[in-house]
Amino acid sequence: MRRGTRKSARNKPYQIPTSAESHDAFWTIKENQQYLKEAFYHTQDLKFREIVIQNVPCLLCYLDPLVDEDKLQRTIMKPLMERNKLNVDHIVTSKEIRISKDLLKAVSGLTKGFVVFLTEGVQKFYLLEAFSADSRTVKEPVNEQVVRGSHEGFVENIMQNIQMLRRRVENPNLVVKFFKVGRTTDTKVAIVYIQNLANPDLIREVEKRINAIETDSIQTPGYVEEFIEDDPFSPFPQMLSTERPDRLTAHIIEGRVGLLMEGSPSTLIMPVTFFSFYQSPEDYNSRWYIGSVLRIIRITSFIFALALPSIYIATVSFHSEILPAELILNIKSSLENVPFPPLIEALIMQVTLELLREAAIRLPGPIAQTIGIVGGLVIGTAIVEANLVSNMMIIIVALTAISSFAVPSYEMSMSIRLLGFPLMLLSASFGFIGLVFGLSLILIHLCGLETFGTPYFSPLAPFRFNELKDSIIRLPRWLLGKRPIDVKAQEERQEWFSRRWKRNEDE
Amino acid sequence: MIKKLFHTILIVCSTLVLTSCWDQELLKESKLVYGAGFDYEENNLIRTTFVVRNLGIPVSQGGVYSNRVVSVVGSSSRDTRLQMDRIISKQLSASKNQLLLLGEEVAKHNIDHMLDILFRDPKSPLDARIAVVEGRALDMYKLDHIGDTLITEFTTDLIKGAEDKTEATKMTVEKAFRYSLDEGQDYALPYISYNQEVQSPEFDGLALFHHTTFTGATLSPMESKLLLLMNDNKSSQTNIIEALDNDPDNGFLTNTVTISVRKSSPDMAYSFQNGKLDKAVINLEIIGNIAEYPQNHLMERSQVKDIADELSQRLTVRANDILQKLQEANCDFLGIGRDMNAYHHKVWNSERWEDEYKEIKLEAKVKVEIDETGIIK
Amino acid sequence: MKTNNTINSTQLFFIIFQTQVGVGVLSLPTSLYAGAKTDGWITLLITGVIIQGIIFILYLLSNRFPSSTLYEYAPKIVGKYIAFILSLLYIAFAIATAVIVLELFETTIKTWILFRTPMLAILLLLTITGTYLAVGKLKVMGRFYQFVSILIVPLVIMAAYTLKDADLRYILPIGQNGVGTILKATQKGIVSMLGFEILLFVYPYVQDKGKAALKSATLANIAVTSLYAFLTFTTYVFFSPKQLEMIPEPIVYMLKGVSFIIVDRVDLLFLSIWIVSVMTSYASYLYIAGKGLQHLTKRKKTTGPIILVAVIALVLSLFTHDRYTIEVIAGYHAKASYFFALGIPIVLWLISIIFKKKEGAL
Repeated sequence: MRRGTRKSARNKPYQIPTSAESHDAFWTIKENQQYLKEAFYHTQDLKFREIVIQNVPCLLCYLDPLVDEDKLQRTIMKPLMERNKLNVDHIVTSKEIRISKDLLKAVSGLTKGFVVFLTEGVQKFYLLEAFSADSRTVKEPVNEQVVRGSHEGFVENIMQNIQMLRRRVENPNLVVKFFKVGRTTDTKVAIVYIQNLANPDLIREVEKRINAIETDSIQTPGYVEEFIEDDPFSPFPQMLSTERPDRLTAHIIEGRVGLLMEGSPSTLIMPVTFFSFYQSPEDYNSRWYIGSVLRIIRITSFIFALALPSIYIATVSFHSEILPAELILNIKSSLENVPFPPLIEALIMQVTLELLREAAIRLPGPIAQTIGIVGGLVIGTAIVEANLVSNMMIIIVALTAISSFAVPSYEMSMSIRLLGFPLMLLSASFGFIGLVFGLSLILIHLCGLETFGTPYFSPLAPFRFNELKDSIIRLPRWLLGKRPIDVKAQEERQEWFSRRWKRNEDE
Repeated sequence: MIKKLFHTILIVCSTLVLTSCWDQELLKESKLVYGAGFDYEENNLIRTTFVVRNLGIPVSQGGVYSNRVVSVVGSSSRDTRLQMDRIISKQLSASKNQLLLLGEEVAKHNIDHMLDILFRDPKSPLDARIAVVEGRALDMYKLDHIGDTLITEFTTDLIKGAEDKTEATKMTVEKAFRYSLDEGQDYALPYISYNQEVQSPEFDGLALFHHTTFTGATLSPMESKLLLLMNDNKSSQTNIIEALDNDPDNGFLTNTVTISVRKSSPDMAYSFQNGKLDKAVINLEIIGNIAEYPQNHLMERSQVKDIADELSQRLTVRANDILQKLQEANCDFLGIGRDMNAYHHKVWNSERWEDEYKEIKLEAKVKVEIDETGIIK
Repeated sequence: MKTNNTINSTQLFFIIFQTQVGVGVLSLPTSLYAGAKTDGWITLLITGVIIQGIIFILYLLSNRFPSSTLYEYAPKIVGKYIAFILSLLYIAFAIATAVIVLELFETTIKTWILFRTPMLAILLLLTITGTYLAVGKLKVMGRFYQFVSILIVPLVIMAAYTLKDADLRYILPIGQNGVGTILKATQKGIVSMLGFEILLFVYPYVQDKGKAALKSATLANIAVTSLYAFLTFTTYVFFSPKQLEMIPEPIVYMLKGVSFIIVDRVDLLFLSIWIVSVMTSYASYLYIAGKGLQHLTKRKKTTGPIILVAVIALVLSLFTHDRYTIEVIAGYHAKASYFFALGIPIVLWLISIIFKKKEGAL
């Protein structure tokens, strides 16, 4: 067996430090209220309701998203107000009632959807169950489907979304801050992060930028994104937009900040790196080498989607000698009767493709399929038979399109296809030379781009070898001991030798 | 920020405007040359033959490839190339040329005259095979096709096949360039002849060169094989057939043995006299398996040894013949001069070597060992 | 909210490495052959040792003023006016180097790939990309240089692939031309390895100064020396000696005949990768010149000066272009480079030692 070298570290399971240590409740509700507020780092979804029963001031305290309003009314408020008596045990019709003096219990109870009932002058308090169990018509987001894993998706109601988060992270450190943005619309925007983990500078920066927004209306998170992103002229999305609670949670746990908005199921994550767009929550559900291979395939798809048409154009219009003698005949024979230069061919096909995609989105499912068949098969075959576009070009454009759709993020896939066009122009004018310069420009841009103080192209530039294992590939979870460094989380470790049981097994 | 956007737009626009594609050479606008040939014409003129690939109907729609053979006469290869442009539609592109055939006559002049264009042009194919043709290259290309195979592919594959069987070295334009300027080493090109009987080209050994001119001497495929073994150029399969006369008299027409060489290791030993190379001995050791031996079954180890000994003897005689041919042709195929320069630098003198090579005593000793007899004894 | 404009020691390594590896690599074997015949690759190793000495001096000089560039500490050593002239000279030198890079780049592209494209277009491509890289601050350069250095690997693999056709006898016997010739040829080697002087201008931005920085610079030198020696070696065993005299870019020529499974003409790939190396050294010199100009004009940002420098270099490079003229100009530039990479730093260092000038002490 291997001698444990890091015994001390292994025996001390770490928890994100909370200020709520075991603490006896105060006698006044004011003090208790203050304590709870601080325990939750003044999160703004912690609600208090004062009521007076038998002339004694009482306080109901609960986490708004987690509590079922109807239950709260029916089983707690109504009986208390109507009967106006303090023997809570008998009046309240909650499913579960606990009595405690320890405020820590209150804190953990709150995160589980309990309502805390405090009475002035009494140290004991009640924990009353009012958990909102129903998840109203939560559907899987259509554009981020996975094979294995959670099929939950955010909805338009911000409270319900926060509830999903709270259910996934039962921790008082999860802080929600609300902002009202938009002079006319007064839209509710919330940022969520984990106190004591997320970098305070980052939080301050996000708050600063959101507070700076002075606009008439905010309709979608896209508005906010454009107001607060670092480089508005960059072709690359600098915030990850997701409708999946599991994805948002995973990023928050790594020390990032999430942004939710009333009326929109898509949420924003910041700061993100380029490679976040190539990760899918699914990666962690499959065997790690499968996950790794999938990631490598996706990153290859990036190169394909970006450069494949350009490489082809450069090859057939400048450097045909690079093709082996056998291959060149096949390609040449397919090109023979096409009247256009390859650039025009590619443009025709790419534009057709974008048209089809755009048309298919707007139509209901079955008709969209028809469009796909008409476009893909009929136009594809006809255009070749009419000698407008060569077979080869069809193959190339189809491959490009497929590659670009392999990206798990919609905006990224669009950005890449768009970037393909200037590259095609460059290769059509200078061949490989133009292509290399074009790719270099993109790469320089990626190297220089920073979002919220995080290098965008990390861990490739700046190069961090240790982080390749959770970006380019995915190693088993127990090897990913540390969080990504570029988020500058306050605590680096995220895993403590979970497989230590293995060491004792051999004895 | 607006400024930055403006810059980006400016760059994109200027690229669009600049897209006049000065160097564009569209693949579909080009005519691919798949074979070239050079022949000697009277008055020191060169006849250049190009085999241009035709693609009338796309292959996917049932078309077939065909060749068009064009031939013109001019003073240099560039001159003929320019004439060629006048009689071939579209842009002529020789960048994928696979084969370069030199007529016997033209090869006897300095072949760099024809090849310079290939060395100099950045688009030229440096990996095209070069070969010498018995008679004229034009006549060879005029055969057009052998069976279903086009002549260019057929001949290229012939040469490639010979390379795999240790009958020829891989001689590409690049190699020809390398050796043409090498004082201490000469080369040999594959020699293609026309076989009247089967009416097709045939690989017929090596044409020995001195510097950049064909000496007129050729080696048969069998001899080439032995020469290449001596030069340590063994490729994947090498079979040596040799007649024997240990005849057990059992009614066979001939008595031969074939061995497939598994390993061969040549070793050069030099001896000097008066600060000059006097004698070079090549010790060639061949380890092989018996591939064919119909006369008898080899029950005893001694029988195998007898065959090996006789083979050694016979091959030694052959090898010495080959060396003599090399010396007569003044073709330093084995790179003895290069060896002198590298390992015995003091005796090396590049000017003197020209005459020295003919004088030295070259001797070969071949030793054959046989250790397997196939799946029967 | 931005990250600091500093580079770590790995990035310093790659900045020096990529500045050194540049346009000269293609013609290096031929120019070494002209000096030292087939022993050119040994010359290169010796050059590496000499350059190590220079790097050590540059390091000692920089380390006396760890938080300023040459432009900033020169006045402290030699006074305001001489320092002004020195700075001007360095700017001129950097611009001249950038011009040479542009010229050589253009000639190579013109002879190998784009024959008819107007050179303005080719030069504009390099200028735009290089400027964009240089204005992006040193940290971006550091990141980019580090990332693209991975491209050196395929470059080496391509070159190594040709070793299957190598004939070792071409370089034997080693040292046949005598030690004198080999040593004499080192001056040709030094020119192609210029670029290490960027240490003088990036040192204040290095996070770990002192030993770690010296280590990076040394490793960069070792890497460049071995890369160059390897490439030179492969060409020397591939071409027969007479060929080396007549082929100006042997490495590309060597790869022209190579074909991998689906790619013929590997030289095109090689040149495409080589462009990136040219771009990086070009950007480095733009940065050196731009930084100086920024210091002299007391501007806050380097963007303006760098763009100005790029335009000057572009205009200058439009004048001459045939291969032989450029070789003459490059010869003058090579001579000048001894002063800038070696002479001036040594003098400055000696003065700073004699008069005990150091950062902090006035």
